[in-house]
Amino acid sequence: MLTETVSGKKMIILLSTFMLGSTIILGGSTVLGQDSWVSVITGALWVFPIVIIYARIVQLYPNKNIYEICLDLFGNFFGKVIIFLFSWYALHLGALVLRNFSEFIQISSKAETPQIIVLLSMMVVIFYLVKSGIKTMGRWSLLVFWVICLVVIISFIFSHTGADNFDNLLPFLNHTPGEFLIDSFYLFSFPYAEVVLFLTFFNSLQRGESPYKVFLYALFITMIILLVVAIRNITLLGPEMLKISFFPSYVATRLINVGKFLTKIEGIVMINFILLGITKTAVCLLATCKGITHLFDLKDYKAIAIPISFFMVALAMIVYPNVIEMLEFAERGYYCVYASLFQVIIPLLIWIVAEIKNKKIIELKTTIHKVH
Amino acid sequence: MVLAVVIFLYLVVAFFDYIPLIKKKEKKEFVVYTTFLIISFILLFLIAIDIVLPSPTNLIKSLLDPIIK
Repeated sequence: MLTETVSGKKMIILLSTFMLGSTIILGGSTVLGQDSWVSVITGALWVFPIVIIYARIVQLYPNKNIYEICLDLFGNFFGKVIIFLFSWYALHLGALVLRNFSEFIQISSKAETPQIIVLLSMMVVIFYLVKSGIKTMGRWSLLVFWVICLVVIISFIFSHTGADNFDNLLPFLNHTPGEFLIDSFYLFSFPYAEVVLFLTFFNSLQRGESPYKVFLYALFITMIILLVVAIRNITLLGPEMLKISFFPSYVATRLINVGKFLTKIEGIVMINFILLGITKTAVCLLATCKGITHLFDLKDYKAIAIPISFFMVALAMIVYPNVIEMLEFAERGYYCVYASLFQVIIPLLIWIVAEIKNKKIIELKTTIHKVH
Repeated sequence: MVLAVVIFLYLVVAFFDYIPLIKKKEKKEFVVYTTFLIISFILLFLIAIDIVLPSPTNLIKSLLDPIIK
């Protein structure tokens, strides 16, 4: 199979835009009100060791993706069971992200348009992106990233041109350590540890680039942007309003008025959300297509991108009956527990087996060297 | 209207993507492509005519309920 290469810089940006994805509209976790910005940092600290494990897996097998590693480590049968589970996670996550965006578009602006139409029109761009390959996705993410940065910076600056709302950040650290721990675990699984999907095409990283550097830089950039977004939302909305908003970032930016001449800047924020939604779903679709390609021993993942993208849309339509159930699935901890199987348990298993196998290979090589 | 959009999209895909794949004569790709295309069409057709389908999230929730509680 042909392997396309992506430079380290583009991979960092692609990882960051993926992590920002739907979190930027759902505004991360809002359970802790004025302290929710703290969990953005603690969540990143939690995910640090897991990301190191992902990078180590990539370092042990630089020319293979996680599906090929599974087949190599666990044989054809168990390897394919893991591939199936992983492909399902990528497909399901893609459907969840799509649903977040269609709900957002319906609630914020297009109340009369059926969600299926919104999803299908988004999906046309997404499958075109996947069919164009990883290299194109890297270039696309670079463009999206600068737009996002610009919008986040502008909205942050404008949000503080009027009244000084920094009092909304007080009382500082007014929650128990247990509450902080649980809330940072939410942010651990959504969005930080979702980068596990990148293991499905990390072998596309240009030779000589350090996977540790790529993962850690991306984590740091994402944390900074989410922190700015969280502080903007808290200062504009206040803790109580933040807790009851479905889409805090959108509600917050609606309040930004610069004098009487620059209003309704939520329009540019909406563009931001759609661009990120497309990027995140494209990565999920790519991971699913690659998984199914390995599951059925196909030649090219691009050939099956369209039917799988339609299947993802169908799944997105049936995955939740309404927006309340959508938020409940995320906030009641179901998603965290469900995702930890794919984000922690499976990668941990792969890493342990890979280390054992690697150690045996080194021992074997040393013995052969001694004999000679 | 929604049904018309779905059917139109599938016709476009069949013409520009499915027929070229058939011409390539890749058997495995053809089987996987056809299976996903048919399943997704049936699902989207049922959704377009407002039939409520069971959600996989309910199954995941019922499996995780003992851990969450």
